[in-house]
Amino acid sequence: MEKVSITIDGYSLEVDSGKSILSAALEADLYIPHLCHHPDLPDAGECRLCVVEIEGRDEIKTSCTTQVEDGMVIHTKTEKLNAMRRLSMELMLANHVDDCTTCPKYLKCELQSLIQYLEVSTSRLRRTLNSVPVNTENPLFVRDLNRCVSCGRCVRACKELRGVDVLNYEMTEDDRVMVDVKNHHTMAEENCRFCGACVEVCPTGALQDKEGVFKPNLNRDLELIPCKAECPIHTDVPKYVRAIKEGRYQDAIATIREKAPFPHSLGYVCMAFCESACRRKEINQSLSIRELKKFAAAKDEGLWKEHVTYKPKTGKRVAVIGSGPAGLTAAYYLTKLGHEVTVFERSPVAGGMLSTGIPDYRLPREAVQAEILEIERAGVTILTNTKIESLEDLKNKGFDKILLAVGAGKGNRLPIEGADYSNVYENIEFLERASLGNSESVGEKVVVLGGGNVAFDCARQALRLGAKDVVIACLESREAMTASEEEISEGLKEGIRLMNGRTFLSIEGSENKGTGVKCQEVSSFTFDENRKLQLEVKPDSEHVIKADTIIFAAGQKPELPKQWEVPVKKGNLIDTDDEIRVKGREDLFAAGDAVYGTHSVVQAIAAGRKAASVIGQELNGDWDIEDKLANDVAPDPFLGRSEGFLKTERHGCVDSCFKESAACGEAGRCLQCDLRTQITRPKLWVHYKIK
Amino acid sequence: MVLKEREQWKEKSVDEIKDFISNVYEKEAKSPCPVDRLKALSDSLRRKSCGECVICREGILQLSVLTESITQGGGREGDIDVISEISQDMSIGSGCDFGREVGKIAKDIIESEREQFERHIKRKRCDALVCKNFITYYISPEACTGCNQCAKACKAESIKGSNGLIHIIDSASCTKCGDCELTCESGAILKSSTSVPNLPTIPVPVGSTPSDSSQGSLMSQRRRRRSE
Repeated sequence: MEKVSITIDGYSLEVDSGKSILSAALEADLYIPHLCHHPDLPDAGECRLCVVEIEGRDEIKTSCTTQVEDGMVIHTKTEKLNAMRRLSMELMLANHVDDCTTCPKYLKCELQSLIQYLEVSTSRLRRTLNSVPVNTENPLFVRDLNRCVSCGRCVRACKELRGVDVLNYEMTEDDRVMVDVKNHHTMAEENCRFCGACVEVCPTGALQDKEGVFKPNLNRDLELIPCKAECPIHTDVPKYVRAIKEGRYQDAIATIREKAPFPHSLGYVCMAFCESACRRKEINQSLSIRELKKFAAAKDEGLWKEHVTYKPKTGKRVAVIGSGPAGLTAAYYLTKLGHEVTVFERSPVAGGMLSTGIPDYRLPREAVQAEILEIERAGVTILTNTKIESLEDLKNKGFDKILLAVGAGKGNRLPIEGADYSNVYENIEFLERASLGNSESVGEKVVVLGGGNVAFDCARQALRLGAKDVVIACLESREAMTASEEEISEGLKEGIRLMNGRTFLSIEGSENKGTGVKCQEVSSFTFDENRKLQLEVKPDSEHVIKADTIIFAAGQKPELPKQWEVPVKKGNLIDTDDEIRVKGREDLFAAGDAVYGTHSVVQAIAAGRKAASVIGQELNGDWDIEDKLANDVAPDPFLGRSEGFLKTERHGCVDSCFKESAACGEAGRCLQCDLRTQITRPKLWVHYKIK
Repeated sequence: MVLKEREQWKEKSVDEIKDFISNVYEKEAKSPCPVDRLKALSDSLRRKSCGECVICREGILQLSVLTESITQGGGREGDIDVISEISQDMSIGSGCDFGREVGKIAKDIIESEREQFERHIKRKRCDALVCKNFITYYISPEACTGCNQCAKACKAESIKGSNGLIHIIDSASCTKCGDCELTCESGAILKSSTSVPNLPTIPVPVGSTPSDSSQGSLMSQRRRRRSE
């Protein structure tokens, strides 16, 4: 581009022609006061703060709307200009509430920073406040026009940057001009896309996010993208959702793969914390993020594989005990870091809960096995049917570090009479037997004791194994059950009967065979200060639920062989520093449910990633497990107008997976919160060299 | 809420804008008092600003609020400087010709009538007898015919008197609405911004003169109090 020479306040600059005087100055670290200028928006010259004098010209010019010309000699801080600026500021402040300290933007406000710079107050002028009620009609933004200085940035952001064109200058009843939603409509009526660009560019506290929409004190990339922030592995949700919308399925799966080696499994069973955080839920329903992930995983052609980085072999060896999602994730990333990893699995199949805990009607085994195969292809050795008796032996075999990822696989049996009859099972034991095909033991009448998701897994699995009458009995009321709403309604649909508010006295039976569960009805229960259960039992409510098979689903805990001598705390959980390093054991690490108790698959994957980083750091100082698998396609900040956007309802999955059109449609519901992070945050005057 | 269109001055020519403004000036700003004139002009024109530039949107509004305050006796030292500065900055620093032209007219008024503005602010006087807070209505005892029409017209019931008597305005309760002035056919209702002459203190028969009254005790000359 052609260069021109200009002089600003005595500094000679060579700048691209076509630039505005303001941009040229700011880029040269020369500050000119400005408010309505925003680096990402077209300039309008509305605030009149950036006025300059150009030698040889009579007119005062706004530097944001005046292009540089060769030979220009520009003055930015003359007495006359300073006085004009101060007057413009005074005029804005006359029409602005002055209780700065109660404003959410306090100390982050561009207007406040300018008041400081220009040293102005409102005392000379008459107040021209136009008191209006704070507008909270929409679910995501607060509009406090008492704090608006009509700089028009939001109007330009909405119109020029996003093409949505919802905001404008509008006349009030008193013929005053204020920024408002067009035609004084609600934001929804004008088909706002709720992208947040207006809030992002607002220099004052006039446009704010509603409290609680974002979690504070995160870095900007996570704070503004709640789905990504809530995901334990910070999957770039908007990025892959956008890729699906645009039909770039391989980019979508590669984006998911950057954070987890189990995308398809997650697509089936992830607890989807992202969906609970999704801003779209405030408008109608959250995006079907998990279904979209499953869709992308099903479309996987493996193109991401060529981008995976494998670091040079280090010669270090790591033993991982347990092949659940935590163990295999750690093994995968450690292998990529160049270490030699062997995974030991006591069960005949690898995968932990993915293969033997979660019933196959929820998580097809082929999906899991394909993902495990991929991990083995990366170089991980998995030894099944291998029980580790001694950690010392492993050390002696040359493993430098050992990771315990044994999960929490031991179900709790209530200490009641008859609990050890032969037809009484623990949850995980029962599910594992079912998964491995040892299901000869299910009778016609099955009673599951417990009210969580695992109880439903057991009950629904029992139905599939031929049980005719399945009852879930638990202490909690229907509302207080910890199982997800989805599980409960699916279970009820399949014919499971719920018996809430029951306490269990004993298991009736004889000759090592239970025939029923003796219960009492509970009117209320509390926990005392020692967290001991206090029950209030309904009088004369004793009864027996007949059963051929009885399953305890009352939580589970890690199973740790005594001779390992692993330090444990309450609930037999492994005692660690930072949830990875086993207390007092230099070469021993732990990750997953064995550390923090039963949790989600995605949490286990996060733990596996962290373990790989920590162990990598310990082995050779390399903790960096990040992969760059997806193509970077810059998102289009221009959203355009869309009439039906806000009304489009969540599209759940109909059969086993989305059809393409449904997936693209659902992905189109995304509010694209990540676009906001691409908007430049303007620098304040203190950050410029020459002020 | 009623939807109102904004004017788009940026798209209009200087001549169109000049025409528009002088038209408003002629129609709305006919008052003989220059402060009142600037008040009427700025109140009308602030409603026509497209509202995008600070100096025009807030500047004209400030002029309107300020002149309103001055005409009501709320003028402060420094107001004239603010008016001069706003009109000056508007005339050279507005984003389009609308602001510039409004600035020029305002500047003309404040520069040529500075003294009148000062009298309003410092002495609380309106020489043109327009700004109601600065004037007192009274009835000329010589001209009053005792027809009682003014008392009937007074909504505030501030006029004492009945047929055949010289009427008296109670200045404490008078709202200075001017209805009496319009009603009076004999031109007896007068205004003053300084002092009022000797007046009867109670209604006396039409034709009485100050010398008729007993030792003048029923007549008094009052100076306008500064606070009125």
